[in-house]
Amino acid sequence: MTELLGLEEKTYTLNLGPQHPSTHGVLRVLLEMDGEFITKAEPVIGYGHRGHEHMAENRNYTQFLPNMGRVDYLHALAYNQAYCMAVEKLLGLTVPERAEFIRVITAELNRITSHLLWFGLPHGPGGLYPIPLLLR
Amino acid sequence: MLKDNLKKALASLHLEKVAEGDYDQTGYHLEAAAQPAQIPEVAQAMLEADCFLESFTAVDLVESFDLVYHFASFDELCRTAVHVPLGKKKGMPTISHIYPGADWYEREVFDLFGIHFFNHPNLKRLLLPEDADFHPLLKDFGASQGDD
Amino acid sequence: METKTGEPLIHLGVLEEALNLARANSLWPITFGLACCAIEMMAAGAARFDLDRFGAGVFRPSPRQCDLLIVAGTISKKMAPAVVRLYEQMPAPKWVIAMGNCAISGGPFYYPTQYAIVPGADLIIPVDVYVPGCPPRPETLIEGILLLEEKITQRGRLRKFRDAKG
Repeated sequence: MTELLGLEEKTYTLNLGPQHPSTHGVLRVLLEMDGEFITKAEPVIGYGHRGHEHMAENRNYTQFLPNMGRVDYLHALAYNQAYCMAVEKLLGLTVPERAEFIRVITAELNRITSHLLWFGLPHGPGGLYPIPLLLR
Repeated sequence: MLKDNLKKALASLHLEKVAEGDYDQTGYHLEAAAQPAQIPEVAQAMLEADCFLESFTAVDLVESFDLVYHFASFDELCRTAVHVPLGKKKGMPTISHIYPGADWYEREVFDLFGIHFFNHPNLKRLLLPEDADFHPLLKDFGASQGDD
Repeated sequence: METKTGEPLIHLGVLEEALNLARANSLWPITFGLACCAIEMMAAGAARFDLDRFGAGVFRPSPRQCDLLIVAGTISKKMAPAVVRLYEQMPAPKWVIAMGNCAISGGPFYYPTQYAIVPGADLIIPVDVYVPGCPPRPETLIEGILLLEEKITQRGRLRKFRDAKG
């Protein structure tokens, strides 16, 4: 009898929507909750899709370079570097040694900022709020 | 050596081509070409050799598609690129029962190119809104504007 | 005080000037970062370029408690209904700052066959202040907030600096 009335149902669906302080950027997660425990989580993505691949179809190598800085905006110079290295491999170019040193320095600095943001975000709103202050 | 094991495993599947690639030029060590129906066996051979699916995408050559699978390994540096030519309006078997990570890759290829995967557990759009009716990376969709 | 939501029901006369001053000096933004400009918005709220000294440093997660929506980042077509819904959930009086080139007019991602983005926030919600840049520096965002305060209070906040330069 209780099954007919649906009283045996134990889980409910909660939408952790695209705007939420703990989803930096936009990520939507459909949660099936049993009280406070999550039994199933299904992510829904695509809210940040800007069509970089479609843009690349009709651009020069130089024209496409700014896009690579926007793909991962926390570690932008590393993505720029990866793109430049791929283009250099295709064209058979070598860069001077000073450029390679500079690339290492900028890549490591970007890695530091990226990890600082990772550390600051889940702890920020409602947690250790001053941690993102390390960013600047 | 992983490369030799893979060459032996792939050679026994009667693929169209198994060749070595120049790592410094191209970034992969082994290259193979396969027919669409052979892909589940190739994936099974890769799984047994401890490789993981690194990426999977497609290229729209105007008359046909070319699907590209990249497999790599954590233990040894050996990347394998598998090319699969596919005609337009044809489907592909899925490998998501062998590599669960291919689930979202196949959804993305379906979303951007319109290629169907048989027996896929959840073939919905991934990046575009659910009710979109176009596939953007096809060549007749309209290229982005260039330098004008 | 005019907002895009229309005339208020009750006019309080001279008291409104004091209320506008209070509203302008304690704008509560919503944590709404979509893409790269969100990082600059967070940097503007952090220690070096402090937004809290202008009263606007309390980023609330819920739209019911905010009065300022800073659209920071590219609005994709999938996200546009969520942006409109957030704007409608905010209680009046409310203001919108379009931060960054993507929120103003689509930015570097706008070209004739773009399929994925809405080229500009003012196509879906009414915008009060536009802050250009890709991404704008945190000081630029602070100037945008000061301009918004000028718009709310009708008193010059930046005017004395502009006049001094002549």
